[in-house]
Amino acid sequence: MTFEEILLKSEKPARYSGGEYNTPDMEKPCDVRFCICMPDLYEVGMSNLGLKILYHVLNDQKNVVCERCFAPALDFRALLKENGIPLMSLETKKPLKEFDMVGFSVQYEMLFTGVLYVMDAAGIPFYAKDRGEEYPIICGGGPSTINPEPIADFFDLFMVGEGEEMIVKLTDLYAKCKAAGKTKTQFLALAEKIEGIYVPSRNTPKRRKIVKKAVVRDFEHCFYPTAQLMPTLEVVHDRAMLELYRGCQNGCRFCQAGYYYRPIRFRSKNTVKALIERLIRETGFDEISLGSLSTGDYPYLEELLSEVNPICAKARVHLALPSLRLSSFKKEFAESSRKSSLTFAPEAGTQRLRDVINKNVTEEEIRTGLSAAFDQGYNSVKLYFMLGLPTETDEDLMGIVELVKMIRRLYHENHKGGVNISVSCSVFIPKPGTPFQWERQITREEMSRKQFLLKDELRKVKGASFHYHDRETSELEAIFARGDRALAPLIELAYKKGAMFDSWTEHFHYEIWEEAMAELKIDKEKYLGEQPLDKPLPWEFIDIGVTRAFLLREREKAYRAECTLGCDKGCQGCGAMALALCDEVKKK
Amino acid sequence: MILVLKHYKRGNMKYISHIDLLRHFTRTFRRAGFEIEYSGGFNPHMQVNLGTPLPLGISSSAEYLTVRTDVPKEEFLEEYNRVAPAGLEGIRVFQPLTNPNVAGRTVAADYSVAQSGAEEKRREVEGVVNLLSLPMQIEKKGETTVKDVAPLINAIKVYPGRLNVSLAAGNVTLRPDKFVEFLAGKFDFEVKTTDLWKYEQYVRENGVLLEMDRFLEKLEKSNEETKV
Repeated sequence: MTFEEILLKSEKPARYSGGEYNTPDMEKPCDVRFCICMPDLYEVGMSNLGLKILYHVLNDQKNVVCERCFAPALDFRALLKENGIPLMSLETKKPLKEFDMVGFSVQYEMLFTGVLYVMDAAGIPFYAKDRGEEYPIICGGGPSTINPEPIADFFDLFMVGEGEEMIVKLTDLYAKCKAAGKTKTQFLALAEKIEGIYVPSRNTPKRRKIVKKAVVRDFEHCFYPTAQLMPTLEVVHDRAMLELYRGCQNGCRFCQAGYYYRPIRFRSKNTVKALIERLIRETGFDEISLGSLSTGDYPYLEELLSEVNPICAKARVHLALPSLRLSSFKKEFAESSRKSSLTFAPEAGTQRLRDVINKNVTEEEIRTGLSAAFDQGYNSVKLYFMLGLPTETDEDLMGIVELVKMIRRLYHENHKGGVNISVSCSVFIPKPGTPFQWERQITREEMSRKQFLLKDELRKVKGASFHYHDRETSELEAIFARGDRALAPLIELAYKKGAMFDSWTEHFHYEIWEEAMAELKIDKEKYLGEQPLDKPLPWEFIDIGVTRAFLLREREKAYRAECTLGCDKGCQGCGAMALALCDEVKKK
Repeated sequence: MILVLKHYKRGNMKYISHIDLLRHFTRTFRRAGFEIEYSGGFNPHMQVNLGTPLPLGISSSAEYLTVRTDVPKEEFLEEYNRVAPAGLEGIRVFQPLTNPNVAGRTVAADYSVAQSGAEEKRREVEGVVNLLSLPMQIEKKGETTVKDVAPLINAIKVYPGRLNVSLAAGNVTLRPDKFVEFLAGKFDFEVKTTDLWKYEQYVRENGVLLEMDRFLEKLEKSNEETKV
């Protein structure tokens, strides 16, 4: 069968056909052919802002052409295999193997098998040591590089931190090395000198070098593509995404992103406004999402909205404001959003536990925020909590139930009809780079007891519904989050036994992982239990700016249920300022 | 006022489903800066009426969509093409005086497919159009049914390297890809359905087939209700 015939036999040919509006020039002469690969389906991969930024920043370079590749769905993978066709790029249908560089965007731990799935479909050997000069340089990037160790042996190099400037330095270096006829080993030795680049073969647990995370120092003027690729079929986040700022003021102690993306750097109101106008013209999306880790804390939000709301209304573009904190919920914001349902994340049920995790939101703020929202006409609330947080007791769980009851009463004080309160509980995963990186994860038995306790209690509350995360997925995620190099063979074995698309509930089979762990004699307790304070953790060679001393101090404060104020109230000395100037400090 | 855009659906765009297609048009119109009429109600959306759905994988040079807008006809085509995705290029714009109801009025379409080996069997293949009954197996959602497709065939012509068929399309449809494969199987020749084009579509007026372009041209001049 020809490729075109295969396309027509697949479930959704548009996933693999390419040809999106705003595709850059693929025919220009170039020194480096780069393929960005997201080890997930088109619909997921094309929803990722990072991928779009890197794709366009590379294609903006004179000497680079960047293409894309996503994980093929199982039906298409089978068709490719039957017909002996290796996985190819979307744009020019070039086999992955023939690129100079292939960059995997590894968004989180559950995509690890996806990387192997893609390499397998492309006919690329898994381990870096088994790949000769004829294979592309395999690069890794994305948030999971805060601890790349479990997948370190599969990659030639990692880009740690923010990619838009680092990736250009990397392709420049590659072009020079290629022209000079340098070998892969020679290139890697030079690449290691670029800030943010980690070369696992030259930086091993026995001989460690510190890798400093790359950050964009001038976020205000940094590259952001407005003529973005327009997905051909409906994708998960089918809208334009625009970052208002990087970093987060709040310092929630469980939150990896909150520490990893420091220091705080704002885009000015005028820049955001200009970008919104260009996005409307150049993409045609009917929705623009103003993203950040805590959009309500963007200092210029009110001014910005008052200026851009008329522009968006005229073009009939909806502005979405995700990640609003309850305390920052204001009438004006609610008015500019669609009145569907409100989502807030108190994370814990009692004030004591919220203080432990430094989620600076009080019951009073919840009351005020929700009251305002109900008066606006909202009658549906989604609440996110975490189970198994450090120091959690059953009293904290009952606090969740009390909170739900309080919200119900609050609604009925002034409003008729029913209110929907949906409670979603994930399981706490101790993540590298946070003050809780040394904590244990609760066992699956404990998870199940807590989940059922809540389920029973919430069943008694009218209008409340309860959802909870899968225990097995949470456990595996925790194992990988704090994993080391001993886990690469586990990922390989599990993949060979059939584990793939682990982030898709219907494809996740924990038995495969347990079987593989047993065969390789891997003790999961080593990764799930409390980690020693006196030894460096496997990922501590990665310098994210925030210091160990700061994390330890926050950990102590957590045990004392003591809050740390937000960066906007004064610098707390996390250490990230060593990487770039923090805008919260600059403001003062 | 009402504008009808005649456009292609070809290249990579032939893989786009009918629902996804709508999204491409609303985005293209926003990029062009067109003010298109919106629906009222709780969740207003841009009102774009697409023609009859084209099965996935078939190219076309005769697709029609209808909008209400104040953008002048000439400007519409030029501005649309400036920001249209490759494969959905505009061909012509009509300004009918009444709503043409393209999807509802379409009754037939012409298709052309690449073939090899049909020339030798030209007489038999073309003769199919005269059959009073032609049972064809049709698979739908995993179930196989047998349907008499003879009333759905208007014309069959064999040309060197091509096979052209004119089939019912609209409320009653015979899928061209399935039908040419059926013919190829029946008379033992090859068709390449990856090279299958729709190039014309028809309304029925006074009992005879009238090309969509002619029909729209008539509506541009007169708003008299045409007889269906």
